[in-house]
Amino acid sequence: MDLSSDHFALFGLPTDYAVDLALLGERYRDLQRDFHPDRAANKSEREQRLAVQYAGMINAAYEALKSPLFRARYLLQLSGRQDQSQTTTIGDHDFLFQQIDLRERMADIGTAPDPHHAYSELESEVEAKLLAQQNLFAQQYAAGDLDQAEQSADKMQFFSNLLNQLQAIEDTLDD
Amino acid sequence: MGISLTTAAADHIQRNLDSRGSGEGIRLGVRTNGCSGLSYVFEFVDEVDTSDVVFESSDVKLFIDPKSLVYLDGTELDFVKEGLNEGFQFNNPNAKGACGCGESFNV
Amino acid sequence: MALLQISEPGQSPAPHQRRIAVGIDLGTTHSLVATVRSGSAQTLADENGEHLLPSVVHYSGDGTVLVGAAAAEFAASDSSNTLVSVKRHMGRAAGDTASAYGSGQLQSSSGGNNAEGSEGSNSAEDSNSAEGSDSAEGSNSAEDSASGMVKFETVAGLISPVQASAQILAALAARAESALDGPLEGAVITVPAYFDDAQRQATKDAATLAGIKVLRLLNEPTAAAVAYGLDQGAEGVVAIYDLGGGTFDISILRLNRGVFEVLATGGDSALGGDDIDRALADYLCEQAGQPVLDDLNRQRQWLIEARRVKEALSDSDLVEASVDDWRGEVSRNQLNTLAKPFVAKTLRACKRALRDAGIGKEVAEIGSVVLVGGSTRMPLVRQQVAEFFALEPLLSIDPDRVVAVGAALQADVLVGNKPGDEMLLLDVIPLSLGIETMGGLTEKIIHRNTTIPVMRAQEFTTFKDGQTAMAVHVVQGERELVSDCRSLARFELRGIPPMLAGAAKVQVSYQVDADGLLSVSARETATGVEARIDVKPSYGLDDGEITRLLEDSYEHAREDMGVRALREQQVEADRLIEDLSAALATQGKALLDEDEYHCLDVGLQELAAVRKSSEDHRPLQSEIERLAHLSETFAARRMDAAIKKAMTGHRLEEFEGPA
Repeated sequence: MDLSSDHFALFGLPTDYAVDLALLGERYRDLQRDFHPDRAANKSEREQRLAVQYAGMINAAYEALKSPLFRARYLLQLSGRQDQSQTTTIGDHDFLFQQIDLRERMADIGTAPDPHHAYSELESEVEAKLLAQQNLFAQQYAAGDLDQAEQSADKMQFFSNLLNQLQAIEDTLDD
Repeated sequence: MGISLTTAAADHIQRNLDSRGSGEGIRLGVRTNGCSGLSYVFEFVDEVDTSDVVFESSDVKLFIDPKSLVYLDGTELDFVKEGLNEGFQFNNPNAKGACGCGESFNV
Repeated sequence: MALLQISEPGQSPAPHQRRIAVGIDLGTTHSLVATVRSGSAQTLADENGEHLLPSVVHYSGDGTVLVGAAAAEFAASDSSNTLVSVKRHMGRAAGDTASAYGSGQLQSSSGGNNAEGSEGSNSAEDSNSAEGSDSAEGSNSAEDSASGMVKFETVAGLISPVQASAQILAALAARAESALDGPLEGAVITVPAYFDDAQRQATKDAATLAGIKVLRLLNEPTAAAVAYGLDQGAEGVVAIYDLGGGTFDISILRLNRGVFEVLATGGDSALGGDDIDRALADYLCEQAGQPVLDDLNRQRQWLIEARRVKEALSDSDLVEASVDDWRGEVSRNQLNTLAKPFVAKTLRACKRALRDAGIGKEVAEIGSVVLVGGSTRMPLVRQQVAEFFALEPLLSIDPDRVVAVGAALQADVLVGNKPGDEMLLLDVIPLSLGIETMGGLTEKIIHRNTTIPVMRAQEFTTFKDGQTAMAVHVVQGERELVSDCRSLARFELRGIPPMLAGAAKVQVSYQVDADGLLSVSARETATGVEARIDVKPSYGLDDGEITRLLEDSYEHAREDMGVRALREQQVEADRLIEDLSAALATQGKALLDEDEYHCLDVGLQELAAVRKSSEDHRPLQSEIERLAHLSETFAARRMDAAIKKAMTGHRLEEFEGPA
């Protein structure tokens, strides 16, 4: 059985961008209670190996639905859209200029008078933009506008990458 | 007759019940298996069976099903240390033979 | 005569069926073993009533090996033959852990230990021009046989940290078998959460050398959470701050009806109380006007005094120090000044872990903070941790013993002594796994703090016509450059069918199991040919080296090996027979057709017959493999049926909702 065929069905959730995270977590833990390798620790080696695979697949499905970005990508994939985020280009000039601006500010954090303050200010701003983009995605997806939704997912990816890089910078601030 | 506990056994059972946080007492019994025919049942009790015979010794409740009582009547339960090893031991007057391990016996 | 223990209701074992399992805390400065007896987890003491076994091993010329307090007596007088804090060197190369004290006998094994068992058959001809394969092929037999792990020069020869750790583990296993009066079924061994793959593998290798079956490698902070969680029925988010002798870990967990879900982990696998000892020893030498010490025995002397003073300062404000005829005083404030930079470093890691757990700005979400490790006895550490989390830390369980106790609780569950127990640990991988790409950059395959077990697949393509091999370099760490990450292994994929460039597609699958250990497999997807993988651990022992050490070991004479192998196969056969019979009885008719059922039924009887008659492990092993292979489809169908059942359960719930 290919567990990756439908993660929503695996957790008994409706196929939708809005997900009840508490419920998702509960069902994830219920599944792991049955399939985690610890449950097979006393069984034969083959059963243990099988348990590793199933638990791994359940983990992967959980991760795909838990993260707003991965969930968006996964919904697009279910709708028959290939993930082309590696090769895709964004034609939205305003968005690109905004990205350049944000990146320049990120590069300046280290030399700011109060780097920690500069960091948290920029982080809050990017987080807010990411959230807005997620809401936009939800509307576009619900309206069946997959082209627009795909663009939103790509933009979410930009913000998410930016947050990761910001955190890497924060890690170096104290050292 | 009945079943008795040494002070050391009672202390240890009480301590184990306390650290477990729940349990009505201890169940003693026998069942048929093992190299010499019968083996002991020695467990915490969460749910009391109405047919159980209850003994109380040093404030510890011992639950025994009537069928097992025949084999256990007169038994003294002790707690002993042997080198690094420690645990409980049944001094059972009914046991006529036991396998070398002491985990099973016959009557 | 066996002594009885109290069992859980309905769980009285049949005679000779007690499963003895322990938890082992293999620590930098000391180690412990614990077990569940009569329903409660407790650490086991030695003949003298000591629970803590100093993690010290002493080797003498006549082959005698001492472990623990007896070995520690030689720490200052015969320091080059007395190995301390070996945990710091597990899975590490010589350059990784250089330090001013205690490393005088360090020696990289390269060239030192290469005479025997070199395979030398690693012919370079058949792997033509794979991407970046130069370095892998440049390996000669000397490098093949000698791992990059550091070794110590003693009168007993070069000793690896794995061998020294095996001695400590064996001593604890012997203590447990004597206290529990029976053979060990297996052990849960704890490791710092921040241990990378090489360090984990080294720990597992040490257990193999000591003849101990590892039920699970468990992260130390998770073990501590288990000890507290089950003790106090805690729910919510818990932070575990674990500062030991040589390692620091911070883990953030969410507890939910018996499930311990690790949200994030962080730390430093080479930071601990030892560093504070060294700083204090340096300070004492400076006060005494001592020049820089190059004599190992003298260094140890000052270090031992520094540790004593540090520990005494937990209870007093001023402590007298003396080495030889020098006398001085150290105040707690002075110690705090020396220790503060190290504590500050741990708090920065806490901040990162909170952020990674997704609760960076909501420190108030943390319900409790648990302190683990002897170094958390320092008042400075307690005060700073309390301040950082704005919470009074929990200390009700002895910080030295809490890890072993948690490990014992999990061992008891894993070995099957508590069926139906709700406890489940969901742990994470502490450091990202990646591979080397063009230009010496890392490409992350599995990100840190991903829940394990986890699998990832990746597709590679050949870039030359007729290329039949490829080299993949796996690294662990968060940095962009490969040279800044830890090299785990190099994999040579061979046997790719010769095709035009770009036509062969090789799918490489990475799997991290519940112990946090990585394994890799590869397949050519266009033709379905399995590519062979040669693994060369960068800092570990390869399988050949482990086998050699096992054979060399006087504790595992050859006949013992045979007996042990047979016993292992018998246990495996019994498990397979038990699992399969039960499955056939309950689901065989529903999931198998008549032929399939018959085939497995006959296979079961055949295995049972061989199990009964065979006195050699080999025929039994091949019979097990045959039946296991036959039953694979059935096993997969049963898992699928179980998953479907779980899913249907959820759907039913939905229908039962408000109409």
